[in-house]
Formats: sequence, C-alpha cells, structure tokens
Amino acid sequence: MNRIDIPDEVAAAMRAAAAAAPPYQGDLAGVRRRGRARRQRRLATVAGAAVLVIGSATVAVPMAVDELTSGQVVSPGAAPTTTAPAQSAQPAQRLVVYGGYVTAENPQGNAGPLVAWPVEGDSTRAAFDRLRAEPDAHGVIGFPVEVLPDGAMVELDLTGLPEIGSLYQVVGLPDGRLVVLGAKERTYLFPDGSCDRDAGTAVDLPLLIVEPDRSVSRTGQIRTPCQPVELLAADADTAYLQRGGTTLVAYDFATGDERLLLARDSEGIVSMSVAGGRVADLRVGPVGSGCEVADRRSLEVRVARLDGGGASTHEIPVRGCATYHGPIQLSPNGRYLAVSYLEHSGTGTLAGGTPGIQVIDLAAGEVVVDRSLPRTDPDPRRGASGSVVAAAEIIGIAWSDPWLVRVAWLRPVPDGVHWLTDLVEVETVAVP
Amino acid sequence: MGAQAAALPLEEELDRPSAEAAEPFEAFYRAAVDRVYRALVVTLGDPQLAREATDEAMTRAYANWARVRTLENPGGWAYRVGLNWANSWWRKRRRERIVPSAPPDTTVTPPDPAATAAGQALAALALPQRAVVVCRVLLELSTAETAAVLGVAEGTVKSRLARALAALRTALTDPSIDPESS
Repeated sequence: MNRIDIPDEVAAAMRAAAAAAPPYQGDLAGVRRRGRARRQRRLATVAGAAVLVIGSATVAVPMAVDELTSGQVVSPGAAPTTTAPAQSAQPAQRLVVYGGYVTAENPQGNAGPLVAWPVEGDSTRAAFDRLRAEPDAHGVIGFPVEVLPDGAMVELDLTGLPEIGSLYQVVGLPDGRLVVLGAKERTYLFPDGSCDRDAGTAVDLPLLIVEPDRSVSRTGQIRTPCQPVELLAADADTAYLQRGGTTLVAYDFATGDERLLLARDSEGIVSMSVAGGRVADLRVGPVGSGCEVADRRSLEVRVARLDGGGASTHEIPVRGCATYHGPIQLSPNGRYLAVSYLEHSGTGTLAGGTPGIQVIDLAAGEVVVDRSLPRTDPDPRRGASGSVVAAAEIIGIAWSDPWLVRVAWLRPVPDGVHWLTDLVEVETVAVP
Repeated sequence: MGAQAAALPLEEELDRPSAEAAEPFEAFYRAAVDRVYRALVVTLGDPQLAREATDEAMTRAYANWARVRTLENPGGWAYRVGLNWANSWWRKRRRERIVPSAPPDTTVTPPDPAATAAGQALAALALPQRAVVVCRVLLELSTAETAAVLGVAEGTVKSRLARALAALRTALTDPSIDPESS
C-alpha cells in the first residue's frame, strides 16, 4: 500500500493511464490574456469601449418604409439617421436575464418553488445553499445576469452599493455602464395587495448610472405610487420607464424631469419595447378559444415614434396554439420587432410548451422569421416537492446588431433549486 | 443534509489579483498545469475536453491569483474548477458547436497495456467515483483535502473510494469483468 491507502497496483495503473495521455499543449501567454479578459468581463467592463452612434439630427416625418431600411445602431431614444454604422465588437443591446424565484404548481395542487440563481458569487452562494436546504423558502429574488456574446454569463451584482436597495432592474449600455432602477422591496417595483392606494403610499426609487468600477456617475430618483414600474431601455441621458403596464415615460438624467411619451389603453398589452427612436407594444385580443391550453387570440403590434412623428399598427397572425406572455424587443434601428411566444401541443400542460420567436418586419408589416427554439426534454428526475416540471419560458431578447437577435429561455426542469447557468439556453436568430 | 467538508472558495468569490501578485502565477502554472491536465484526462476520459478544462481552470486561477495563491491547495482548486466547467450543462452545449482549430495529434505511440486496462477500468466507474480516486492517487490528496476539493463530506469520499477501489481491483485482475457489475 502507498501512503494514501490505495493499493499499489491500482495507483500504478492510474498513473500509467495518466502518463499515456497526449501532452498538454497550453500556453501561459494565452492563459494570461484570457485571464485579463475574464477579470474585465466579471466587472462588466468592456475593453475597448464600444462607440455608439447617436444620430445628431432626427427627422420628424411620419414613419415610412424607407426610413426603416437603414441598419445603423442607435440609442433607444434616437431615431435612425443616415450616419454610417459604428464598427463595434459589442452587441448593440446587452442580453440581461434575471435569476430568481418562480412558483410552479404540481399536479397535487401544492406550490413548489423553482429557484433559478445566477452564476455563483458572494451574494448568491449562501442564499442558494439555504434554499437548497429549505425548498419551501419563499420570496427571494435573484440578480441580473448578462449573457455575453461568447455565451459566458456574468452576474451584474450591485449589492452593497448604498444608493441601491436589495433589488434592481438593469439596462446595460454598450459602453459598459449600467442604468439601474433600485428598490428596497419587491413590492416597490411590483405592488401587491398590501399597497394602500388610498393612503398614497408612494415611494422614491433610485435611478442611477453605474460605471464599470461600480462608482455611481449619475443619480436620479423617481416617485412611484402603487403602480408597477419597469426600466425598459436607457441611454446615457435618458431612462425609459413603463409605468402601470401601459404608460411610457422618459426620465431625463440632466434635469430630473419625467416626460410622458405614450399612454395606451390598458386592455391586452403584453409587453413594451423601446429602441431606435420608437416604442412598440404588443396587444393580445381574445377572439375565442381554439386550443385546449392556449386561447386563440389576435395579435396587434403598435409602433410609435418617440418624438410623436408617426405611428403604425400591424395585425399579426397568431401561431397555432401559441400564447404570448413573454418579452418583445425592437431592433436597434427600430425596423424589426422580435416577439416571443410559447406554443402548446394541446396536451393541457404548460410544461408541454415549446418556446419560439417571431420577427416582424415593421416596414412591410409581415412576419419574416418564425423559429421554434430547440427544446431540451426535462430531466426525468423528480424535484424536491413532487413532479413539477416548469414550463419553458423566454426570459430575454437582445439584438446584437440590426439583423441578429439573441434569445434566452429557461428550459423546463423539475421543481427544485437550480443554478441559472444550468437552465438558460441561448439561440441567435438571423433576419434574412 | 449531512455534514459537509469546508468548501473551497469558488472562483467568483475571489478578488482581483494585484499587479505584484501576477508573477508567482507562472511558477504555479509550470508546476501544476500538467498534473491538473492529466488528472482531468483520467477523470473525463477526453484529452481534448481535459485540455480545454485545464485552460479554463488556469485562466480563472490567473484572474483570481491574489486569492488562489493563498489557498492551501491551488492545484486542487484548479482541478475542481476544470471538472465543474467540463461537466456543466453550459459547457456541453457549447462544446457541440466547437470546431477544433488545430488538427488532432496524429502521433502514433504504441499502446501501453497497463494504461489501456486502467483506462477501461476507470471509464466504467461513475464520474464521482473516478474523481475521488483521481484526487487521492494523481493529486495525492488526503480524504479531507479531497472532500474540500470536491465539495462533499469526508464520509462520501470514503464510501466512493471504497466502491471505486473494489471495482478497479476486480477489473484490473480480470479485465473481462465489468467493474460496475461487481
């Protein structure tokens, strides 16, 4: 026996197997180069800051087909111009998803948690371990995670910044900065029944621009009553906020003023998106039930220029038994709208849904891409609380450039506690 | 939950290295990289994947060197990082799309019968068992160190090692016997 109580013949055989491996052919210089890049990515620093072309002049004309045919990358609030596109290695829109807590219902009617956490880090490791030990824990929200162009996932962990509460929404600017809407409590962002409207329980929420080194370069504050508020898009000067699910406002960092841009009727709005100087919303109208699971519905996409210069409406055919509950995202130049859906097989279970994405050409008013995303069958193992298999769900859409869109979705998994990196799948879809 | 061995810090939990901390990394790299790589080859059974996992582990070690250098067992940490990375779903997904940039090694070497037999016997083990044996034999870690590296309890290490050794002894004595069925 050797010193570690392994039979000598076994140890010798294993060493022989190791020695038989082909030689290692790594290089130290490459390791150092990638290590430096990794540090930069972890801090959400973008090496060689991307240049974002912001149109110096906007043309206030009604929305027309010809203005939607250019392909340049612009900030969310800027309308496309004839400026040449920037040569940037960074995506025009950064893909951010959120780890967090989802409650699914198992066939016995018991609620069981599906907890997806971001990549391991100081802020999440302890919470993850606690949840794994206590599967009935409730009310925990994860942190935003950026899916980098190479597929790596980086937690955008801003906990500890005194200006920000325990929760926050993030929009990543192409130059590496983050626009952050913070809150101390989840109900500040998404009020529940405990919010007392009569008492006027409005709260102030910090709205900040955070540099890659975590310093805060711009500060602002919005006041919100008992009303959901969502940070939809932003550039270095303006944050675009969806209030109450139906209203779009622009917050000016320089003045602190909030300007009403759009007020929609409330019925049927699924999602909003701001990019390329436009705002789009997806409205679902019920027209009867044709499938066991999903209602057959009409889809209406409404697009308006942020400067009030024009608007258009498109009726989009519904795909089969699909439901439309997920995000939508305008392309950087505002020409295309990516719309997520979940198509059901008619089996009566949400778990049977297959995620997909449609890309609508807003110039032509037609669907130019309809792609079912590859679905991984659920792990056959049972979860901690039974047999729950959560539905697949699209959780993020971002355009890399005017013709390539990245889509992130959660694959269906058993009820339980999972790392986000084990759940998220990403597909890049090209517009022909 | 059973008692867990003290876990090694994860690479995301570590700080950035200072500039002056960068140089000793080279000494660590030259001393440890081949051992970590070969341990991963034996564990994973795939030299190409092991090479990529080693590259990734060393990259993370460099990125976090100010803290990794203070660990009791930086090589064990690198092995664990490489193993986790290679086994992650994410890695599997990405791996399907990778086209090797370099042609495969075409060097023909006579097969070592002992190495072949050991490789077959190891391949029949479950990966967790293989990882324990590799830590104990190739990385020369104690039971406690192995538990820390793999993030499991010492009792788990012992039980996995006992089952693995029993299977390996049987397989190496009579290669016609499937170790998993023994």
